[in-house]
Amino acid sequence: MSKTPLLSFLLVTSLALIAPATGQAQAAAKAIRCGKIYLGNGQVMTNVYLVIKDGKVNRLARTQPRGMELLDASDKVVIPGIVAADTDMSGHADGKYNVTPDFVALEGFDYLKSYQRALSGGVTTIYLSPGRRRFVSGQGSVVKLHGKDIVARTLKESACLRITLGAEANAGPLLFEPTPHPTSDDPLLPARKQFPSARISQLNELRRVFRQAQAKDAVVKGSGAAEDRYSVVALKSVLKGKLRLRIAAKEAPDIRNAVRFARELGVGLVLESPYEVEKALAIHKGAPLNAVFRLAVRPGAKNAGGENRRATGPQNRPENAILAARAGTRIAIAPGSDADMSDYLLVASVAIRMGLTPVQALSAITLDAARILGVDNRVGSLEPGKDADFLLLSGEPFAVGTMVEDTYVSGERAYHRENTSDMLVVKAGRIITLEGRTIENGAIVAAGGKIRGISNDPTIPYGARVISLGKGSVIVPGFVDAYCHAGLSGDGTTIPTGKASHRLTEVIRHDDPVLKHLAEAGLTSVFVSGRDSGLVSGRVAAIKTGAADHQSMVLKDIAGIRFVHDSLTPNAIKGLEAQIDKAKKYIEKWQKYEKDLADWKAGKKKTKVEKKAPTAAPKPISETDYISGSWKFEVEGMRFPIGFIATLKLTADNKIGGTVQMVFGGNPMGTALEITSGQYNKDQTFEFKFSGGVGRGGGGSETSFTGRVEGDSLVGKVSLGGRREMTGDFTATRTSGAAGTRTVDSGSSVRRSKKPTDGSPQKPDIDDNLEPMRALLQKQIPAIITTSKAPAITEIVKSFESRKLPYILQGANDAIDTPEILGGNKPGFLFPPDILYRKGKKITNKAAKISERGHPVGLVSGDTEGARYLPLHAALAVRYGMEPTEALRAISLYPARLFKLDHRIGSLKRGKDADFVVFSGNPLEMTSQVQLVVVNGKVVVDNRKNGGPK
Amino acid sequence: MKSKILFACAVLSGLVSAQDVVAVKAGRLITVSGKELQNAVLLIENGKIQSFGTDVKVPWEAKVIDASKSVVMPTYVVAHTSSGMSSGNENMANVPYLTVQDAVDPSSGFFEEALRNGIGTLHVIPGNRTLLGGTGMVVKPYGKTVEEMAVRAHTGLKMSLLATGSRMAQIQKMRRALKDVQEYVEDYERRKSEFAADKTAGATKEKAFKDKVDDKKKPVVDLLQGKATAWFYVPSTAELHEAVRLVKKYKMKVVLVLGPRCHKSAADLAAAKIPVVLDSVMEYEETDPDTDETKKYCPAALLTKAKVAYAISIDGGSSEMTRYPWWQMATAMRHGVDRQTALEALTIVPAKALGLEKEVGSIEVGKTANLQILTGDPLKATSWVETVLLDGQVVYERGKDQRLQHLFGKTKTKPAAKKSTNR
Repeated sequence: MSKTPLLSFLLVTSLALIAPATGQAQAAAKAIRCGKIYLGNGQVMTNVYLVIKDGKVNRLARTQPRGMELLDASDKVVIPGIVAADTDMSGHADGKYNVTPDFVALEGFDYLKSYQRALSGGVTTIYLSPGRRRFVSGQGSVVKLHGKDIVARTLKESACLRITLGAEANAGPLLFEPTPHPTSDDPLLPARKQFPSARISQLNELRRVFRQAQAKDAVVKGSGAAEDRYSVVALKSVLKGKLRLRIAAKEAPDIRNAVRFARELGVGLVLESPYEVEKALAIHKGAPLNAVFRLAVRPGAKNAGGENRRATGPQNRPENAILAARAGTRIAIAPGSDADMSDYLLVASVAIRMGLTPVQALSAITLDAARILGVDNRVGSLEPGKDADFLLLSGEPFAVGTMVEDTYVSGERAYHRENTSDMLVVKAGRIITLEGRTIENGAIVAAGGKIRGISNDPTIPYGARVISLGKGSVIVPGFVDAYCHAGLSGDGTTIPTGKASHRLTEVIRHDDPVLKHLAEAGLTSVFVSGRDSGLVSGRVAAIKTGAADHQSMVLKDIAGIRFVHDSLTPNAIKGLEAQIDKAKKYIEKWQKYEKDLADWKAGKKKTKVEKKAPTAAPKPISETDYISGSWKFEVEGMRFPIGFIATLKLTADNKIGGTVQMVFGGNPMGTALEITSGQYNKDQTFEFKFSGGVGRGGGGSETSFTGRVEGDSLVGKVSLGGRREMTGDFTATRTSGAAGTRTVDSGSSVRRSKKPTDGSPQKPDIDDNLEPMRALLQKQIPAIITTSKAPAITEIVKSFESRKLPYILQGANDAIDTPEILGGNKPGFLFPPDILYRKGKKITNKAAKISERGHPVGLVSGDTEGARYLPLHAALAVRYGMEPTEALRAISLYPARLFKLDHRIGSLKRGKDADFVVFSGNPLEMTSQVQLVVVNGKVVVDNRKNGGPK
Repeated sequence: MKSKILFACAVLSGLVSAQDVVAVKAGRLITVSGKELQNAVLLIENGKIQSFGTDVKVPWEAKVIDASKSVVMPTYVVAHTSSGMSSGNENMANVPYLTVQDAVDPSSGFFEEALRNGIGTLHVIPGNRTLLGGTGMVVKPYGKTVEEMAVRAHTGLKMSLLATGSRMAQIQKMRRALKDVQEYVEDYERRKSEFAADKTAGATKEKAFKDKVDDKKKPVVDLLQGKATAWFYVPSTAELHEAVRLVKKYKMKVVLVLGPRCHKSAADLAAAKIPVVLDSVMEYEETDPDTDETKKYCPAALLTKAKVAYAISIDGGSSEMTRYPWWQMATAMRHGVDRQTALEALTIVPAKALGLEKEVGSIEVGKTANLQILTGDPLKATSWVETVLLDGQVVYERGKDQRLQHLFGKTKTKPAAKKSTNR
């Protein structure tokens, strides 16, 4: 400090000469491509390259500089590192003496501590306070929060001399300093009070302190009593104008005193937290002032402003800073608590709400703060030659959703934020919610796989991915195909027949390419089932198309149960009803279990742990399975040319299951019926039976088979039930498959549940055959009945309406022209693509017609890969007269509603699954293209970059 | 109890007298400074190591200590302890004129325990809760009076930055205290040179400059004039930088005594090139304020990595395992310190820090015969110190350790394997 200018000049030049030689390794220049940069000095630039070298800003370039590392921040906003003009990060401060000008804040600073929290808020430079409660507290220091050692980090060891005026300065402790060996020369003295203890003596005392330091005979280290033996070097520096004064004064008289004292000495002054600065300014008009404010704003805290109703003195209100700035004071602002450094920009934005301009606010945390601390030659703005301390922001500095993503100090990255948000914001020209409103220029906010909100101009939280699509773009709910086989024909060759016991979701893969193709067409959910084949045509699984994994693919494991009923015989519906009623006992078991479980959970009832011998695990009798396969039964000794075709299945516990269908005169009759019970025995004999209208006397009769395995065929007796029993001998030959090795889980429809060990009631065994029936009877899923003839339709409607079970009609052609057969009921309809039929020149649109009558209509594809043309089917329906919104609902909301899944899918509403499609125009126009498909809140198809779909 | 121990010690000391030639047959001889030897013989004459090696012959007049099934190594050197006194510190902080000579208690259980654990040299110095706390002394844990125990007095001044209130204030206090004395020295020197000028001018009749250096300041004066060493306690990384600055400013000879929270300063310590003694905390846990993760640090391991030589201390006042030298070394090794470094940290390194590297800390010809005989490897928890020799005299035998006998009963102690016999 005392060196001559020449000497310091030499020092600087010699350093400059040495620097490139020593620091070449880390001195590689780097360019940051900035989308937008606030230089801090008021200048704003877009699309520039910030070149840094040796930890300094080298230059700003319009074109990409060559031969250096490039950091792409073209989607970011760059601002200078924040300069925190006031902190308590110097550790414990305040000694016991009231005058300690030789205290240096830096000495208490722990530079090896982690300062990631402050760095995460963008703070790169901080002021360290030497103390808060002593009259002359000491010298404040300015350091950086990152750097290799304390020398590299120190910007200014001695940045100011801090003085406190007002009540805080009056609270000096009593001094008791006993001498170890008291003598008359060095007596034991009582505790002394320290000056000052009232405002009246503060200025006077301050003058005395400086006068003493100024005296020619002043000893550098001070003299006299212990409290006066401080070094006066700092005081002298102030007097020489080398060190500025920083005076903490809250109340107006103290502020006036501070200003007056600084003028007396003729030195620079920074006011610290001058709450009543406005009052003081009224008197000291035109006085050029610097002031540091700690904004009493605590985000995330109760009583965020720290209001104290009982306090009579001046309050620390954010408005103080704004009033000071308006009066022409240069201000720096810092959060009221060091803990809020992580939200520095948010705190500063509060000052903007209170009246500061954004330019002032930015300056108050960067360049003006640096000026006030006297370090503006190094930091505060990004002008060439200054330190490369800068922040990469996710957006405009004072936006709520803007966060500091990277903090650079002297060109080195000191902090990096990991974005863990899964929030997605899609903006489009129009949003068709299908919930009764259409939003122009709206945005959908999705997170956690759900729609969080739909609005016109949402505040975008940090980390959200924002996708803005053109004005003409339209968002619609993801399409739903209520009947298709996608995902079931893995190799694309065959579609399996539907079975009630088929656990479809276990075989469908989330990464099936067919599902992906459907997603690309805008289908986000499909209801998958096997081919219709007989009375019970199997269960339906609800599947998401673009799911990331199996779990998120399954929308509903059992979403429906399909039946085919078109029999014209009287009471033919009984067979269907019998199938459904089979589940009644099964349900009772489950209901009892659920009740027991609830009781057990509530602690009401202790279930007796039954001491039954553990049931032995089912053991196959032989390793070879002679039974499973498809068989053709030829029967002799009967009056009629009867035969059977059967698909038999041998399970692990030696039960025989499967279906049997009667053949009469070589033609299969009716539908295949489930085997109700069957047993395979050790001596290779077997028996099985099924019930249904085969024997004389109609329903309720039983047909039973008993026989034995003979090589590759089965021989035995068959008995037709009914009033007049008929028996015959049969020989069965295989039509498919061969005797195979048994596997333990050979497709038993019953899955045994484990015995609980915690005393809770045992779960009933799960019968996969009856599971869909159970769901139906409990009204969780609908029955979908494929039918066409009027009597059958009438029967179905009557049966289901009387049982109050949910049902959907598929096809149901006769209901189109003769709606009376529905008896005034309004069931839902599913229509495969052939919605048109012609009579002469008249073309009837079945879907439109039914829809007009007020039925919910779903348009279905009944296809696998071809399901992707579902929008075409809807377009055709519109082309031939269907109301467009109803057509859209027919491939989204109505299927969802009919399958009781409208709480998840089908329309756009807060809380529903974030499944939606963005079209470049009207979604029902085939000329519109799919731009974006979102499933479970994740973008699964994005055609924007390719300029259109593949 | 105390008198019993003293009595026992007195009896033990009579077994071998100093002027005798003593031969120690070592099954395994850990010299620390050189190679480890198997089946070696070590000759002691007048309390010093006269020779040792595998080919050394046992003279006919020598008294033989047969440790041919045991391990022989130098006794440990503890570079910094405040145990063995009634309390570590005076209430007042600036008391450089105090000395532990007035406080060391030869009958303290600490010294007995030290001997039992194979410690032969201890530097007793005022505690850390001070500013300028007084001077220390080096003792052996054997003797009835402080004088008997003394190895070297006035080994240096205790300085400490352990803040009772504000860290910044403590640093400032230290700065002011040193500056005070410096100005006193300058003033003294000025008066002295004025006297010399007067003398040559014939202005005074006094023969010599009679002003005495103030006793209360003497240790600090010695320190500032480079005549004495300071043992400078630095509690954490935050103070280290300032401590080094002070050392450099006043050009003081210093041994840094580091608190456990100095673990982050390894690189700074390597650069500072100041001898280092670690306090007794070998493992230190710290919670990261950002992640709330708690990590365990071993300052010794970090210093080894940074290639800083350091001495390990033991915690004499504790009932924890940290009072055992083997535990301290083993903890360092568990954190990755190699065996030799760990052994040296309790032998030759502290000896160097004390300026006693020519006397103790390793087995070398000419050094004081401070030996311990162990039943097994010194780093094994199951090894016992069987015999300790200080200045060539047997001062401890486990078989005659009254306290151990009281604790474990006579039956459990082995018959003295190291019986000394004339051949």
